[in-house]
Amino acid sequence: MRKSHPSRALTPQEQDALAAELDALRDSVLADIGERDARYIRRIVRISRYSALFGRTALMFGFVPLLWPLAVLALGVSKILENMEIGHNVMHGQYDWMNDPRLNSQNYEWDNVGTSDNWRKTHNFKHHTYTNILGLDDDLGYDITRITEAQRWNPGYLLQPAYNVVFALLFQWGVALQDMKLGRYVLGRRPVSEMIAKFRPIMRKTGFQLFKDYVFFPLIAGPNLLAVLLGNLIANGLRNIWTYSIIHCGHFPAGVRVYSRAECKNESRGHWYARQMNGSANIEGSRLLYIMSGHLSHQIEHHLFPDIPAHRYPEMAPKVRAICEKYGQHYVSGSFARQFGSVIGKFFVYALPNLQGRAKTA
Amino acid sequence: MTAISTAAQTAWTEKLYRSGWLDGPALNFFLEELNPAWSLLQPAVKVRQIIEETHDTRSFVLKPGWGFGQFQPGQHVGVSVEINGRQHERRYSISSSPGARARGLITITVKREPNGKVSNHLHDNIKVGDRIRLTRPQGEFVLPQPIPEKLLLIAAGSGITPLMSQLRSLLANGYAGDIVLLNYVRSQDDRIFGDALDELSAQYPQLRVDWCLERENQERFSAEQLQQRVPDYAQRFAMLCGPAGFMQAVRQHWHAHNLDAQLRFEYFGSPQPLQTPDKAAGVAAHIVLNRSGRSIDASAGQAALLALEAAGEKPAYGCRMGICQSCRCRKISGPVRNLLTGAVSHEPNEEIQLCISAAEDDVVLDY
Repeated sequence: MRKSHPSRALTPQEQDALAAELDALRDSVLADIGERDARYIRRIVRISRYSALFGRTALMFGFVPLLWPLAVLALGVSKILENMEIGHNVMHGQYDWMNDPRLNSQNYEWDNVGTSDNWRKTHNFKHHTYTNILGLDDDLGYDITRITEAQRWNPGYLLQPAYNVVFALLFQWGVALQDMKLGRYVLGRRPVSEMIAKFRPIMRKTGFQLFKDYVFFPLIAGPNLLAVLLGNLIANGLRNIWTYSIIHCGHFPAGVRVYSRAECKNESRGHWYARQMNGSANIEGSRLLYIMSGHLSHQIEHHLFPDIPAHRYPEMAPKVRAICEKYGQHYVSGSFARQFGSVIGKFFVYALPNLQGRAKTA
Repeated sequence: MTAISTAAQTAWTEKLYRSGWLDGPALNFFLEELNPAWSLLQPAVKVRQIIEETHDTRSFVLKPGWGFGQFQPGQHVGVSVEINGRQHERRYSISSSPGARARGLITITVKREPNGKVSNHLHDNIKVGDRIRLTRPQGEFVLPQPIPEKLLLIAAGSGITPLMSQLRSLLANGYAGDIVLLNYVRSQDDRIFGDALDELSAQYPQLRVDWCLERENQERFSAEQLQQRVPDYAQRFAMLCGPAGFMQAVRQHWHAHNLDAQLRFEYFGSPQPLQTPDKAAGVAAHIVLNRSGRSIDASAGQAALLALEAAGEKPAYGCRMGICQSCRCRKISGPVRNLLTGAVSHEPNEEIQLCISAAEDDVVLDY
């Protein structure tokens, strides 16, 4: 059932040439980084902060028709901008060059139950270094979803179309717990004391987030407690569903390659670049979609250049695409509906065992 | 003058910003929106007055915001300005005395450096009413307590700035001892605080100001020159500030006469060991770890991460290829080459990734 991947294999010389071209593109953008990028990110921060201020204030007035849904939406948008265009990108070090302590990759703490420290490890290091390598990249199906035939099937996957709905609603909790790998403790492979030690910072962060959204702000609303509580819950839910959808479009749509560990042993910089290109997928849409997705709409560019300010990706994309074509590499790109539809399709296809029996490495 | 930064204790404002039980970043954002001087992280304060001291030196009178606290004469503040979206921080000694804080003001004095990004920006672009970001005062270059009865202040060039603060404070507080200020400057035109010092020495008989003019009188620091100017220097407690080469000579002299305990000094630029030993074969640079004071050898083009690990240090790391930012570390001073781009940066107080940065020359890390 498996088609060979449309990208052709590159010789070591071609890999080096590819790396040189992408490095040159990277350098040309880095040389131009400055005032414009600082203004952009500060503007997004301002929009996110004032959007939250409006949302949280308006929720205090209770279930006012029109105002209440607008307030929920404003708070949700603020959280989405903060998590995606600000938090995620700042933690990649995209704005470290500004030397601004508010936008520093090592100190930034985002509005999410997951701790930034865990994220810097699971995402920045593991996922971005070992992108789409089966067994090394925990983001490949997040340990719970089977999205390639190379993953070993078990009967639990039959339920994956259903439990992914729950996962989408609670996505931030998945992010928070990803690095815990709870299964290891349940199976007794690791001591529980280690689990408790790892849990402590998560509990602190989670506690603060829950307190803020479900105790503090509802309480100061007095009689309108319920309107605030529910509003915050829905705003968090909106953010969860949106981030889940965007992130699942990043590496799972059809046409994206999965790698085995053996293929990536001692890989060159060119091979790493090629793997990032082939292991990521873009979403096409409006500028609004790009901003609301934290420019993960340009997942390919993001994986090639994770530390370049993300709002530059749309300008870089045509050049990256041209380089891809020149080297015969497949550039996966499509509308949000098409990419997300393709991922949903995989949930169903790979819920079932492989038709031809043994799993091959993709 | 600029000085290198030292680790300071965390201010209450920064603790508030980082506290887990309050949304510090949000609070800070709205405080900054209301008034940039109310920032919990980097108060941006207004320039109240600009004073031309010499043809290349200006004083900036500033009004610090809350959380600034008290300073001791001789301490410095971090001044940060934004140039093309990027914040550049330099440390400048406060030249006013703490007494001036009664009116809520402090003064920093800045000499234009030939290639100085920040000093030139301050001179060319900052006007009265503009804001610059200011950190809290820090630094160890303060007078010993109790204050010795005989003092010798040795300044060269803009090294006068912390000493001026000390001098003003001593005299204003009724210090009864005897002070000699040896002030080495290039020429008559380079006498920073010339008029103020003339006035002070006229007003206070216990103060003697000796101007050592390099151009007009060919007067430079030497053992004989010192002996001639201040025969009793060995009986005095000395405070020294100036350019590295000058300070090297003075320190060497004090060291040779076993007077190290009677000398305090402050560098601007990287601190240098007394007698720089020639580097062993294969060693291109030393990486100084500021927190432990350890000095580590690095070979040419070797990533700092590898150099640290080879020396038994255990810095945090992740991808080891410059993408994941796990090994980020603040470089206090010195040139590093980015191994991916080949670009060399001399910028002080900047964040670098250890895995793709090689020390080009001696480098100090906040590690």
